[in-house]
Amino acid sequence: MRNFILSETLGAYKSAKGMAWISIAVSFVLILIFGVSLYLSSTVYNIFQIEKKNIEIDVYIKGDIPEPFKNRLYEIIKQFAGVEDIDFISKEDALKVFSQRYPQYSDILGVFSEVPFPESYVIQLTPYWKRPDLIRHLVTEISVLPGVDEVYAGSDWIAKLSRISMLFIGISLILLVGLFLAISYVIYQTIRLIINARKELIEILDLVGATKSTIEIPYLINGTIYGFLGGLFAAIVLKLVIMGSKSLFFFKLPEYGVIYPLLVVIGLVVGLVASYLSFEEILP
Amino acid sequence: MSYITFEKVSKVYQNRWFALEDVSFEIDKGEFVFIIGPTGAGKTTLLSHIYLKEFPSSGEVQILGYSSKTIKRHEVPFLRRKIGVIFQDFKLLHDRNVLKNVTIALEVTGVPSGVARERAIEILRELGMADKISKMPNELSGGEGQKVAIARALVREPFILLADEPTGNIDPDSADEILNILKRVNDRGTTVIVATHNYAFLDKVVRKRVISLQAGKVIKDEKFYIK
Ligand SMILES: Nc1ncnc2c1ncn2[C@@H]1O[C@H](COP(=O)(O)OP(=O)(O)OP(=O)(O)O)[C@@H](O)[C@H]1O
Ligand SMILES: [Mg+2]
Repeated sequence: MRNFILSETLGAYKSAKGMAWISIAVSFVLILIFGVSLYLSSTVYNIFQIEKKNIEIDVYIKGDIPEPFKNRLYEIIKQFAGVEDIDFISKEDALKVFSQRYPQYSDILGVFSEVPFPESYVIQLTPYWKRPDLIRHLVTEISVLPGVDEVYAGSDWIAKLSRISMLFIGISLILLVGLFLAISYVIYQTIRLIINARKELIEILDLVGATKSTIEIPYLINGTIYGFLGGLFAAIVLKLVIMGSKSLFFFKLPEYGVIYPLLVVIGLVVGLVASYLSFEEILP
Repeated sequence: MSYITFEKVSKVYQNRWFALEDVSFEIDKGEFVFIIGPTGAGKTTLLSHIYLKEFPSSGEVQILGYSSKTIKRHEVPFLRRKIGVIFQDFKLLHDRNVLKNVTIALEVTGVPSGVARERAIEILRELGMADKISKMPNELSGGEGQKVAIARALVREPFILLADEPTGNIDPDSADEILNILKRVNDRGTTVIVATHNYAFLDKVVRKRVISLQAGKVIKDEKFYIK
């Protein structure tokens, strides 16, 4: 039986070799395009997640306000919903941070008689409030408080990032649907061609008492392998590009290991579904 | 218990023509039956109802314990394994040699290739085809082609052998040889049913039954046990 299935599978492949490789090539190209889009989505989404976690609000204080006033401001800000923690950054702290981050500029600071940085409060947000719309709301409320010079949240950038990552994810999903249809169609047609070329054989198998699954399995294996190979080649190419990114684009792209098996599985599933549909349609 | 029972079987194709009309008969183990009648009488249609390639539009067919009314789709292959069928055009596979044309009938049912091979060679030898096992079907004469088809039908030792116009494409001498093979198969207890409009055949079988069809109806059903 195993021999029989094996030789029929091979025979089926041989009866439409050209179409088989067209199926594999089409699967490869489409799955690769999907893989790239999925990769970009993951990258942007990842950056979005990291930035979202780091998001904080900087409240710069006017230089000329008295100490009790500052404490009052501190208490008021602390009462706002979404504020988890507040740190006071003195001029000296700001200077320290600056020189640590940009040591090459520390000399320039020597020309000032006084530390040129304003005092500020750095607000940490509760996880729920780390949303662009809520942050924008908070920023408006804080910026009108007396003694506040300027409020900076960087949330516009986060909002943009969020929109871009949603867009990428949306495109990937559309591609996934399109790819499913396109690959299904090509593999479906290939299997149809093969089955039609082997109608005589199938008729005889039916006559001598082969069960439906015995007759069907070689065609399912063929379709599944076409999709599988398309997915495998796409995964390999994507992996090579990312591995070689350092020499190709002068920076190292991050890896998302889960993408590769996902591409292979998608190819395999489309191939199986398409060949099953093909068989059911021609020989119900 | 009879092997085959037709009970008021009618078959209508495309809802307008009776290919079979109210056909009833029983066939027992070991019978040799001719189904005769002019072209279009319904002979092929009748045989198709025995291996359930076709199902009756009304009435019931019972074969080897299965009923056309209750058999499940997935049970049909198991019925087919108990019935051998041969055709006027042999229906051989042209992409493989004689031996493989025969072993395929065993291999699809899970018989190991080694056993299938032995069994196929044995039956081909009995049919005088031992030296042709590695020939391709297009290298065979008509008579030889039909013998391969018979070997494929017999290799699983069926209870019933159906032959639809088995000598239609064969020269008279080979036709007689094929008929002799069918008689030998019958002598071993296999029920043999031959559809033909070659009336000359009838005289060559002594112990036989003849069912005559015309326009889908059984017009005569005669048993000849003594010539
Ligand atoms: N699949 C089908 N679809 C429609 N009509 C059919 C089909 N098969 C057979 N028929 C019709 O049923 C009738 C009986 O046909 P059948 O093939 O059984 O006759 P037959 O006795 O075998 O004839 P022949 O001697 O020419 O082989 C004919 O009128 C034929 O046209
Ligand atoms: Mg006929």
